[in-house]
Amino acid sequence: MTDDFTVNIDPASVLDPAVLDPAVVEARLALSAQLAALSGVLARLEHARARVPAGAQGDQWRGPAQLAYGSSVRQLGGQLDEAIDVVRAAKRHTARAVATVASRG
Amino acid sequence: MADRPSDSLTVSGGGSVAVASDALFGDAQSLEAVRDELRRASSALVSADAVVTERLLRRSDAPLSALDAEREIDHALALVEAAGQRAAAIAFLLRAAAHGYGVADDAASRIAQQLAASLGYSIGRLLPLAAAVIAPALPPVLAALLVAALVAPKQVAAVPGALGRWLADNNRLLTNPVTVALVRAGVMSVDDVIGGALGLPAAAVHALGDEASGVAGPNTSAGVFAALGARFGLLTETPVATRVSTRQSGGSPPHGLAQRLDRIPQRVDGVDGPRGGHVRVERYRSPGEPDGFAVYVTGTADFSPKAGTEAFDLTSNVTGLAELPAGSVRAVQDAMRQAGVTADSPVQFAGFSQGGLVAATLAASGDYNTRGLVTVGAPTGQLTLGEGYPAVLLEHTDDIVPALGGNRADDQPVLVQREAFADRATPEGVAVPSHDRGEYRRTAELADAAHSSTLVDALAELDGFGRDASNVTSTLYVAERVRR
Repeated sequence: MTDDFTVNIDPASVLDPAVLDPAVVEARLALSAQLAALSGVLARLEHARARVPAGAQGDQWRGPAQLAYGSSVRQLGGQLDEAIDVVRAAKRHTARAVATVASRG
Repeated sequence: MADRPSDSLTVSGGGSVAVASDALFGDAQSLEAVRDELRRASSALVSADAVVTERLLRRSDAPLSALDAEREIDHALALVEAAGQRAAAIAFLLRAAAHGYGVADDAASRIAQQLAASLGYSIGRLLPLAAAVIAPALPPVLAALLVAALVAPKQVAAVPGALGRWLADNNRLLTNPVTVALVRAGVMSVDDVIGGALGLPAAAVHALGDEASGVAGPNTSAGVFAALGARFGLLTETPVATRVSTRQSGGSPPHGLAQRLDRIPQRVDGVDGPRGGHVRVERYRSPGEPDGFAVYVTGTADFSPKAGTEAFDLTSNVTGLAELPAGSVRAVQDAMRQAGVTADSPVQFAGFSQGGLVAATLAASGDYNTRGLVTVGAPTGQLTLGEGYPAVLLEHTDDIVPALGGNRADDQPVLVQREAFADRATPEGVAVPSHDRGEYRRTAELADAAHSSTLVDALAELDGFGRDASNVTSTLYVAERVRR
């Protein structure tokens, strides 16, 4: 996984001759780039979520510290699950915005 | 109690005082990876947010869904940053816990050693008195033993065997971390007992002991035992002769700890006498590079205090613990010389039990171009192994053999520990089941699959040795004592 996200957009589909408003074209390009970036963020978050430990399972660690650790790790997992849901929602809204802007052409 | 082996490893060393289970170190590493991934995700979200500006949305009369997306991105950014901070905090606390445990463990060990030294000195001071009390009773006891030996010689001769059987039947007594800790403390206190028995001032014994200057310690105690034994014809060193047993070509360098343990030879008693070898030397030839060598050293083959033909015997054990030129050490040096190992040849050492002590002694001697060391169930505690090469030591916390080496003096090697019989019954009829090679093989397999970066890095460095070898030869040597 790299830190850069490449957005491949067919200029013909964006620079529709019928659409002459440069602001709309710019918005459509920007929203498409945002959509691609959000896909990358989602992949990163899912990768991070998969690496969150299951919580103290070792048989050499017991007691309150183990419980506190397990609770902290579960909360971290919960935060990441929520973040993933929110990024998915952001993706959906962005995709809808791209479609709406495109339909104006 | 579940009848399953304990698969939990404890990892320490590698130049750090931290002590923790491999699982805990693995969790810390995973959380650090999560933290780093979330930092990258956070940066990517900021970039994604910056692509679509509010001004652009207004100019283009963007739909409400675009504004909803902006709001969700802001929300996601807050969640990701909070999660990243939480991951960083948990990882930090895990590392701090491992560090704190290591510091506390070290402090407890030092206090226990001080107490054991004081107790040992007191016992030593009482020994002459005890001897004076017991001495009058000795002649009748010896006379009774003599009569018993004349009347029932078989029963008297069976006493040592009976003791061994009793230990085998009650092996939980020996296979116990508490017993192991006591043995370790006892080994560290023998010099104090001797000092007390000789009537030396407590301050002098303390100043010379391993708690202070380290002039006297388990090595000097072993030297005293060797000297005392020699007066009775026991534990006497002899010259050794090493000869080639078998030689074969092919194969490849080992990968991981389990494969290294498999290559350590075993000397066993057969119907026609002892079989197998003591030392295996593998030679790795790579074009354009000096030949590399891997030396594998067996454990003790003879536990009799009277030196016989076996070079790997109790005499070598005691002499080796005294850090004197044991027959087993000289045998391995001879095998290496015969195999073509020079002072400049890159060489890795591996050994089991006494073989581990021999391997560590040679690796740390400065006489060889050491590129790695693996010891399994070896009493190497008091050896300073030095830096500059990967060293991995496997020990069972319920195995008394490593405890015979005393407290660990060097935190550079990676120490991998496991309680072999933590959650299951010990097998019947075996005195020290936790010293069994099969048990150590399981530990080696677990270590090969471990996550702790300290251990993973050391294994990677060990496995890099001889990796490009185009030709591998393996020679097995037998080492025997020579009667003068």
